[in-house]
Amino acid sequence: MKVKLGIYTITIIAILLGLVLPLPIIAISGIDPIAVYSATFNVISRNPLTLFEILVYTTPLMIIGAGLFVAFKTNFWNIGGEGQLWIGGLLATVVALYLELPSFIIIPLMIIVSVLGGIGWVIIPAILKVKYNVNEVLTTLLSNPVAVLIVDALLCGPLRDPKFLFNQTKLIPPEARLPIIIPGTRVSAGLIIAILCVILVHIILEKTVLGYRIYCVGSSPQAARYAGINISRTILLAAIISGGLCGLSGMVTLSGIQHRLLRGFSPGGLMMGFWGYGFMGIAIALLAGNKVLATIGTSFIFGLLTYLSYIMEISGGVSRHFMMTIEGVILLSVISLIRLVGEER
Amino acid sequence: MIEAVTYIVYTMLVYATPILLAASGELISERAGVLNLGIEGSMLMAAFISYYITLTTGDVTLGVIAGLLWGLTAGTIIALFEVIIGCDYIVTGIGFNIMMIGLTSFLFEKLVVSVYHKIPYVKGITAVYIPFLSQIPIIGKVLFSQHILTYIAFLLVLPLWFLLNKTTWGLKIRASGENPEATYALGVNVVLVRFLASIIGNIFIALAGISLCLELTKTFMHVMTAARGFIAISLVIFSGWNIVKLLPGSIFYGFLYSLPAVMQAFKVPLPYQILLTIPYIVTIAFMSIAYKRVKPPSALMKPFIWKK
Repeated sequence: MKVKLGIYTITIIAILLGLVLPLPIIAISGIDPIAVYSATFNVISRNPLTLFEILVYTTPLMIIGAGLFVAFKTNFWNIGGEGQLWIGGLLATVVALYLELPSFIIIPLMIIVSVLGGIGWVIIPAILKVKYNVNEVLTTLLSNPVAVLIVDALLCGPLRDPKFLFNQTKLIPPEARLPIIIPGTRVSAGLIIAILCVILVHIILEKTVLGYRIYCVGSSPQAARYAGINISRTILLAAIISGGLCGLSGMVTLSGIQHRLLRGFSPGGLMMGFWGYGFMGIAIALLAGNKVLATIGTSFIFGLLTYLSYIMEISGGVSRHFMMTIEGVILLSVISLIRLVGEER
Repeated sequence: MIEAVTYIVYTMLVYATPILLAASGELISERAGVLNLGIEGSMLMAAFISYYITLTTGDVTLGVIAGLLWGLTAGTIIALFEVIIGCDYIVTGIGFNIMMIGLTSFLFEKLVVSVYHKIPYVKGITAVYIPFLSQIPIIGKVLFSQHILTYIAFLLVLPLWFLLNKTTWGLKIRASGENPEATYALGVNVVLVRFLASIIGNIFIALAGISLCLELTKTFMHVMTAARGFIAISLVIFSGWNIVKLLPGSIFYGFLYSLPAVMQAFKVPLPYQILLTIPYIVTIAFMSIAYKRVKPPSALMKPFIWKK
């Protein structure tokens, strides 16, 4: 018996497994799953507009997913998306708080600064990888807590708003915020930026020479070398694109969602950078398979999961950390399913 | 002055213990060709289980046993994915870590914080004072008044070196990591060797978690391992996959990790977050220096697929 499944069938099965397999743990820990579901349904039915929150969480995830997708295609395992997001968000905050400029100048400036911040945070692991062949998994991973701790130190010191007990910055001025595109919700123009980013990455990967080189380097470095492709340069460029997009997602989170820098800026802030949008991005990029446009769908799924995790925490008392378990199960199922029943690529 | 130095060296060794244990475990499984990136999650869960069992039963021994059983389970899970199914090691590791970090935090909030309404301390493993030797002025305090797992970690290095380099078992482990196909052709069950190496490695990693929780902090926090697992992996790289060379490295990292506590004790006015970043920055810097000189086991990160 040989069943061969395509990547998208596997993705759907993995997500279903991720939702079903951890249920016994919830039940064992003394929470009634049915009560949780009905409480969640109550919250949603009382105010259906909260469903648009899904799109709010989808926005940064989509940008990170597209960014990591590029890096993963060259086999550059950028696990540092979380750190790049924090640095991007930090630089954008500084610009927004200390420069008083009209909207049409400050928002592009924040975008540029955050992209540069993300690139700056990925460039050291990338150079170490292409020059000395240093394992990028460890270097990018360890740069996450550094970024979160730097932001944390600044939040306790110079950037802190003295009016509040919590360690957080002042609200950024209205000029620096992205406009709301769906009235009555928090869905901002960041969503448009995110979709544009995915389309941009799609064009780079499918229509340009760089995209062709990225696919070559990722699928067979030897063949790429014989074809005269400069592997180091391709990996470096892919890493720069990915870091830049991760940094940009920090700016979008800041100016579209949070409007200030705080420890809960991304879910990873309370986890010292070992969790957060950057880590969900890994699953988003992997589940997207071979087409970057699929990250729109997979990031929506993770936006939905994030939204549900918050609602369930408020209504049912299921800690939102449980979401990490779900993602872990999804990742483990998808890779083992690809090995066991996946098609030959 | 002497008291200060004694305190610093003592703390350094206490902090070095989990790193040394984790690195030893990781080295064993990497010599067999299994890169265990799930080390962080495995260690964290061991810490949580030993903490929770000790808290609810009040018996440290039970806590340690439960932690070790978790090591066995974690080794089996990792081996199932990486050895039997042959999945990508990086994704398995990342997935396992995320799952375990989330699970520990979830269970911690559900079973401990919301029940006790505070974060309780446990009694933990008490220090062992070796008779007579612990009376020696400075050395007695530093070397002979440590916790049990510190002695175990440092004393096990030489037997492990002997086991890996001078015995048939060690040869089988190393051969499975260097050239699994040839080893398989010689009649060694590579899959079984890798499976067992992963389990033994994870038992050491679980010991690291237990030592961290029951000896060092005596309580539990979200992500309390603070990348010690990943540091242990980089330490294995720096050591060139030679277990004896783990000793100086882990003591050095013990020093780096003890810095926030030491600085607090001497009231040095530096933001503690900056001190916390030091181990990570040092690791990234070291990685760039060390990588050119060392050679990993040839079949590391290459799954061995059983061909019938």
